[in-house]
Amino acid sequence: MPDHVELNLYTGFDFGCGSQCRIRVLATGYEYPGPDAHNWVETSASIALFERIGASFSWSPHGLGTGTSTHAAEAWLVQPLTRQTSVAIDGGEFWIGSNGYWYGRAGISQRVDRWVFDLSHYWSDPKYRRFGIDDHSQRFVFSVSTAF
Amino acid sequence: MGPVRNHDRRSTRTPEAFARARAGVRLRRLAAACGATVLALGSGFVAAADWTGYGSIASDYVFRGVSLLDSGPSFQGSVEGRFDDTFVVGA
Repeated sequence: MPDHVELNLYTGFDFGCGSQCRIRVLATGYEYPGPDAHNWVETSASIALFERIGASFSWSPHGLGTGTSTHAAEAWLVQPLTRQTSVAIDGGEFWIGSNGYWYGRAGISQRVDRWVFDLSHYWSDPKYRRFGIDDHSQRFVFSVSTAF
Repeated sequence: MGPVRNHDRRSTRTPEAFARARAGVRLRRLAAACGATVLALGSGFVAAADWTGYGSIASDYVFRGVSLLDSGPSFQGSVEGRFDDTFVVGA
């Protein structure tokens, strides 16, 4: 099994809270197959309005498999520009114990037939490097995805 | 020596061997019934849901602002089932 395989299993409830509102409450298991497993579980609640704006709060008693409780508060906004193009911004704050850092993303997506091409720029609070888990606070990510 | 007929082979078995054979048949029937039940429930479970999913290739995998692949490519797939428009399971 490759070292970098991550399997996320989740279950929960997703229900309407009005004609343009949805609430989702989930329990998610982050599974890392292999001998060096540090699996962890997180609960989260989120609300989305008009399928364009939303916010969430997540909590885990042993987030990232660290044995320390973690929680995150996040928000996002998606703005269509045309029928095929949209921009999105999202961000949040993540706490590992009492140490937190912020992060954000701005991206643009273009749909071509059944494919979606996305280019996003990520920012992160440089002080998160104190945790020794990354050495860049900014990066571009390009992705291609398709739904089925 | 002619072919050994079935009743010839059975005639050499002890009553304990017959009991074990009958128990084995019952276990196999029970296993088959359980398997059929699981398949029926599983197919019903799958059929009762609305399934959606996606596949994605990306130049990195960033989780809460942190690259978990040290800026390497990622391959992601997801599938989600929705039951009664409320209960969801996914991976």
